[in-house]
Amino acid sequence: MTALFRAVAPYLASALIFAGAAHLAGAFLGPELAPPPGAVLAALLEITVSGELFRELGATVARALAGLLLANAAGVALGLAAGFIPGALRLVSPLAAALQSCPPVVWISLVMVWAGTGTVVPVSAVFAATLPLLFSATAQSVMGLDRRILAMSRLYGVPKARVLCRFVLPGIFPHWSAAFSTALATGWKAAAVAEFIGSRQGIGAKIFWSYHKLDMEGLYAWALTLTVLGVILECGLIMPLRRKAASLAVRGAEDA
Amino acid sequence: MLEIADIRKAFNGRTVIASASLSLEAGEVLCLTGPSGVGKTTLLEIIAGILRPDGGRIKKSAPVALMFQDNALIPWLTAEETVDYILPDSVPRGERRERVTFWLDRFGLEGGIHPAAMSGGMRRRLSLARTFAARRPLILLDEPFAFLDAAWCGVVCEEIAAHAGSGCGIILAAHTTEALNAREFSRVACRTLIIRSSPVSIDPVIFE
Repeated sequence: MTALFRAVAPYLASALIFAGAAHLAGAFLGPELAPPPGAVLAALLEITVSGELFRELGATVARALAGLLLANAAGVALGLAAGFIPGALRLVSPLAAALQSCPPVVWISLVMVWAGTGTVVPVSAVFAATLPLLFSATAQSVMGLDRRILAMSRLYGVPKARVLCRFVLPGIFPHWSAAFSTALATGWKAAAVAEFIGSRQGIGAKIFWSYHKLDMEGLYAWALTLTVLGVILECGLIMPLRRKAASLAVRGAEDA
Repeated sequence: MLEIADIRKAFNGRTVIASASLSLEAGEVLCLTGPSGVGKTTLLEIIAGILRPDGGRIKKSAPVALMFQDNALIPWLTAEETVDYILPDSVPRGERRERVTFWLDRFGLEGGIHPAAMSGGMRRRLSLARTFAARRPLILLDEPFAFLDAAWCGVVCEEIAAHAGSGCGIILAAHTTEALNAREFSRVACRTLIIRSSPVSIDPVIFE
């Protein structure tokens, strides 16, 4: 009972603070601009029952995942190449840093100019926002691999696929998983922003249309959905991935 | 089997090997000995092809197996996986398992243990098991007796003698030549090269 309470207490406290803040905002701004929690929950129930919530949620998740998986494939492949080619990482690191510091809105605007609105905008935004991160983490962790093991592998003529699967990929996993967890959080937010600006479908787009129509209950309901899913993503996937990455990094250091 | 002539190596302008020449015949054991830092490891790594010499000539007529001074073990592979890692794809699955089990048993190791859970001696034995499992005719052993007690030194001597007896050429680097006095070496052609000071300058035969 105590353990269960300890686990649930932070979420309960956060929900209570959130509800209190909503009430306060309602008191100051009025129910037209800050509807009470009951009205927001009713709007949430309505979009859930109608099936709209799952449809839009599915679209946002699919786009974020598509962008992230594409960025991961490209980032890991390019990172491996840059990590193994002497001097390559040093050569492209300013470009990677520039891309990493570029806000998603720049990519969103460019993609809208190049390809119009629709699915391509959030997918490209997630791709652009997460690629430099995954590339840099992969390349730097490859650079940090024990070169003696690579020399030993060459000496015994170990096939490249085996070196990759048994040495390189497990060796870069701690850094990659830490970067991937950050990319997950970044990608999720980038997808919502891209949908807000350049798409007619998805949770971000629903927030835009609710704002446009001054449907405040709807706006709060979609924003709440986005926030709750972000928390679920953080607690269910990102935090366990970071813990795993940290424990592997410690194990690697002890082994070394 | 192996002939090196006038090998030279410097690191950042500091000469480590001024000139090294030696030869090794099949079935012969050559012990390079001398204090730390005189270039024994560098010479072995040059022979293995891991380091590139600044000059000189190396002629090898057989593939090389090297036991690294620092073991060069992959932390996340178990003992079993460590030995299996270097076996060629051409070795059938059944034979792989047999070979891995044989060499782990020979050096008293359990297959499921990771290097982090091993003592220094166990890591050294695992490194030796991997080297011998490679079945290469030219074997280079860098400090094979380090961290080992007398009983395990005896096993290593037995293996060195057995491999030399079956026609392998073996070069080992060691701080002392004590282990070479073992009775296992009485039937093996055995030479000792003493490297007295750095920069290394090895003549064909310095000391026997």
